[in-house]
This record gives sequence, structure tokens and C-alpha cells, in this order.
Amino acid sequence: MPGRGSSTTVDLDEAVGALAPRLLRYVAARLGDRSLAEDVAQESLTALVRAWRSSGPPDSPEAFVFAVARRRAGRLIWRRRLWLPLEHAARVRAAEPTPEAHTVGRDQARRVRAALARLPGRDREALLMVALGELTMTDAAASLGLSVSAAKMRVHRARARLTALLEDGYEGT
Amino acid sequence: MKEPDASDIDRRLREAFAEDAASAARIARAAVADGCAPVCRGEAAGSPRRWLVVAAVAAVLLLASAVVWWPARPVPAPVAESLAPQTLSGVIADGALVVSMPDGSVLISAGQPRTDRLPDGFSLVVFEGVQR
Repeated sequence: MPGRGSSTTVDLDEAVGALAPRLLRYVAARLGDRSLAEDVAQESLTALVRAWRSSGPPDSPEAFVFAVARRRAGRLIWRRRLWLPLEHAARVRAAEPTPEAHTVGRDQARRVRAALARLPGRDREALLMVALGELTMTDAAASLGLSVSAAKMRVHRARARLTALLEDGYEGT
Repeated sequence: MKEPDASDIDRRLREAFAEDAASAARIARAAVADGCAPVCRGEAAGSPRRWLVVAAVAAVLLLASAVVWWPARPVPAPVAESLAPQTLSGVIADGALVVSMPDGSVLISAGQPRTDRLPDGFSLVVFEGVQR
């Protein structure tokens, strides 16, 4: 079994330990909800650990785990869009801190968040993988199911739009 | 559109989304512990999930074989019921033919042949005799 050797276990622990902060930051930026982000990050890392132990390390653990996290976060976002109007109607929305609440008193961070929210979803996702997930362009492309050139184009476009929004002094609504 | 400074934008993003090292470490530990469960605890060989998969595969195979077998199953050819020729006897009384049938019933036929529907029962009755 490729995944049961002690050196592989050490490698796995190291890989998971190194991926966790990047993954958590990426998912938190996508979801805007720290506790949900922790759930998604942990589930994604668990999927990586299981795959690693049963079939050996994937070609790119980064691409593997970010692809899993991307799908799970996407499902959560859709589920939240579905339930949010009902929660508002029933006034049962949990009193969780909003992304803005995390950055009260940090004007620059708030502006970046607001500008980021104005980007098209696909561009934002690619940028977050590279900037926060610290993926190489190859791994980001694999996670997004794109060619490397297409991923580069998205990231470049996202950076350019974000730069323009921040230079225009975009404050959000 | 101005050419973006990639490192500056990425830095600003990282500042906006601060790293939570303690949470990340906790998640990593939990993931390794959770992901270890099926293999490390020796549950892989007989885990309920595995049996569930085996049962599901067996059910699918059974269903597939039934779907294949049912149309191709041998169907017995319908056997035409035939009766050996028999000699029937009857009488004609008042213009009506009265014949005792082999099954115990009595056939009474009179008047013009019916044309509104096909006759039922025995399809052919051949008789001969002398009208009295």
C-alpha cells in the first residue's frame, strides 16, 4: 500500500499542515463565513487524506484539495442562495459575523473585500486560488478545469479589474 | 485599463483575508485524524459502507440480469386446442336442430343463420341424418 509507509505519513502530515492555512483562507474568502469555511476546508483535507492513504499521493495535492474545496464551496454558496430568502422571511438567520464585521476598523481591507465582490465570479475564484491559495498557475488551472493559458488570462483580468476598482476608490455599497 | 501590479494586489488580498494559523492547525489535525479512520482503525475490510456498496452492486447486477432474462425467457407456444372428430346426433323438431354436444350442453339452432356476430362454441358441426 503506497500510503501506509511512515515516510509517506510524515509527508502527508506535512502536506496537510502546509495546505490548511492557504485552503482555509481561500475558502473563507469565497464563502465570507469563517465557520463554514472551516467545515469546508476540513472536509476537503479529509478527502485528500483518504485518497492519499488509499491510492497514494495525488499528482498534485494542491490541485486535488483545492478542486474539492472549490466544488464544496460552490455547493454551499448555491444552497445559501436558496435558503437565504427563507431565513430572512422567518427572521431566523444566525447571528454570524459578516465578512464586513471581520474588518471593522480596517478600512483598507474593507475596500479590498468590497472591490473583490464586484469581480465576476469566475475571475474572482481564479484570483483567490492564486493569491490566497498560493497555487501555481498549473495547479490553479487543474483545480479550475482550465488550460493554463485560460487560467492566466482569468487571473490577469481579475487583477486588472481589482486594481482599477481600488484606484477608483470603490467603497462598496 | 492599467497593467496590474500582481504582487501588490496579491499582498492586499492577503492582508484583507488574514490567516488564522490556530484554526488551520486544528483543521489539519482533525483532517488527518478523520481521514485516518477507515484504514487506521482496521474498518476497511468489513466496514458498513463497504457492505452497502457490495449490496448495491449485487442489487444492480440482479436487476440487470432480470432485465436481460425476462424478454429472452422461453415462452411456451400456444397450443391449439383440438378435438377429435366425433359423431354427433341430433333431431330436428319444429324446424329447429337440437344436438347434444360432447360437453353435455345442447345446441338448438333454428331459423336463418346469424350474421350479427360470429358463432361461438364449436366452430363446425357436421351431421348427417334423416329428417323425420
